[in-house]
Amino acid sequence: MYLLRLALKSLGNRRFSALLTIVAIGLSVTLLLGVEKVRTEARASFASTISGTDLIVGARSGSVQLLLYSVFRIGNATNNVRWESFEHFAEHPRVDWAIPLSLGDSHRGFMVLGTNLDYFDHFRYGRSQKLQLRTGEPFNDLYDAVLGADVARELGYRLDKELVLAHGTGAVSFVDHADKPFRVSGILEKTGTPVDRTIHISLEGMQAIHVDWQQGMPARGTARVDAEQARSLDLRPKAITAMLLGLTNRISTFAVQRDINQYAGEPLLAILPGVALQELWSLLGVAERALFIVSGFVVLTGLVGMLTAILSSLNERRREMAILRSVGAKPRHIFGLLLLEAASLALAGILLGLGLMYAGLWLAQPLILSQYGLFVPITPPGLYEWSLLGAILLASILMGSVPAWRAYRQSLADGLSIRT
Amino acid sequence: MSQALIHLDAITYSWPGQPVLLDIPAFSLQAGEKVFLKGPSGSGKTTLLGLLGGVYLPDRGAIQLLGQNLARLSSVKRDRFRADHTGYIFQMFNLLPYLSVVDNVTLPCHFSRVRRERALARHADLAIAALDLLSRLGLSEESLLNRSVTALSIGQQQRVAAARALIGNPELVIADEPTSALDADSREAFLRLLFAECDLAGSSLLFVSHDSSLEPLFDRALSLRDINRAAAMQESI
Repeated sequence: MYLLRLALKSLGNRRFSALLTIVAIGLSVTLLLGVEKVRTEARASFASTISGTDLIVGARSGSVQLLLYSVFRIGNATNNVRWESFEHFAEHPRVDWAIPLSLGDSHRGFMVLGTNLDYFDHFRYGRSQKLQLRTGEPFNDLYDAVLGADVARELGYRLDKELVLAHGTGAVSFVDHADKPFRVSGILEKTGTPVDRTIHISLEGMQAIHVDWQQGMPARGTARVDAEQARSLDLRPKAITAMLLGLTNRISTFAVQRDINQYAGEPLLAILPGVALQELWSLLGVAERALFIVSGFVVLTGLVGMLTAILSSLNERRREMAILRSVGAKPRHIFGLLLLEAASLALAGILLGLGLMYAGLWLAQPLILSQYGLFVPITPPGLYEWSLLGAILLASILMGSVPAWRAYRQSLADGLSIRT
Repeated sequence: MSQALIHLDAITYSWPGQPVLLDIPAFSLQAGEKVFLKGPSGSGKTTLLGLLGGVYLPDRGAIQLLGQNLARLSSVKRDRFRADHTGYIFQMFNLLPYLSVVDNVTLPCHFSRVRRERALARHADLAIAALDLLSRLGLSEESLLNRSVTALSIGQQQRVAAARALIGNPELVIADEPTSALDADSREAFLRLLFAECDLAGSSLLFVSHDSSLEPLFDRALSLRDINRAAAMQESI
């Protein structure tokens, strides 16, 4: 206890360099904890992009690709699913509900999703949360659109705003559907998922804007069908991009999956969202681990800074050591003194880091939520965080034993003679 | 022989790879004695103090302190033996700058139980023991005691160092040129205070200095050159 008092007072005597060391360690600890926090929350948020869906079905391709375009709206489908196939599986005895998804158009960089009203009833995200309308209502009319929260916010759209969809999914499109504008009928609450960046229209609306198209180009002259004429046509879609299935009983998931994968009508692929998410995360995991390793090295740098500070102080402290030896301190006391010094610096750095991390989180929390749709809760450090911090403390003690050992050797050699 | 506080018996010492530095056939210091040991720098004075402190062991011969052969003790026990029975005063900057005056004085009591118990035998706590010593050494003003030790004058610092060497009544006080940074008047005043306190504490004093003007004040004066055969040999070369 007395040694600890001596160590702290000795540090206090060199408070400027001690403070710098503590700040360096503190900042590195903040970085490490912050990265860990965002990492775990991003992972949790990623896993909660879709929930409650038992199977995702699309044209036969890779499971990650299917997940990417159907859930994350990234990339394109290689092929479509025939409407008959959708009807076939929607009426499958073990299927409770089926949501058709039709992609391919966009509006100012936001994806347009053609679907039906089941989407608003059965689609779930996060912890089985249902989509909520902040204002307006789901599409009723052929040319109604429901906007995700980010679409409305970024484009500044309100109810009844008219919008023209563009053909294709690029941010800039040269071919648009100006003849059949849509009207905003509802805006969804923020979900923190790709739904926020999606414009939802009915499948029939999707069909209507393409009804007079031939070979991927709009019709010309008399072949054109205007918006009102389109209403009288048969707007049953011919194909969709993918479908989400909810089953009556989750136990039958694998049986239904097998039925779909062996469907004779056309080659289809059914995937379990959880498994595909895992697969995708393991791809992203490399970057995530790299981030962790980098922040680990930053902590190491902070500790090396501490090591340097203590080591460089040793020479000018030979007098201090000799005085301590002359009043009866044993070499092991000198060793302990320096070890306690390192541990105190690291502990102060860790506490500072924790404080900074929580202060930063408190300040940045609303910003992260609004910018990235990621809610990072302020929770006390868990077992994982404590073990990380414990490892840092342990590492600092191990590193502190280097100057401690040097001082030990030095005090053995110097004895009671004062060398400065 | 065992009454002697210090007894050196035919010791030699040399640093690795160097000629013999110390070769002392016999030297002893009786309990209560105040001995002046004259030695210019480079004469092996610091090494001798290291030997007496049990930091180094002689190559040959025996060093007896209070009848105890230091070579027979482990290094840990020698450290404890030194802490229990010896107080040190160095040339200057004796004090730890980050401790208060009182904390500097009580420092040995935290490393030696013997000295703590002796200090507590007469005083209620260590701080009171320190204050008592300090006041007898002429440092009683509260403003002085609250000051940072680095703000004290050299003379005041040396008196604090003396109080630290004397707390807990060690049998031996070793002073290594403690007065070299003081002017002539302060030197004598410091020595008289030190003598008085050594008498009170029952401590012997081994005072090492190159300044022979102080010699007459001591019970006995020796020159390291006279007792060290190695020095005589070096001179004859």
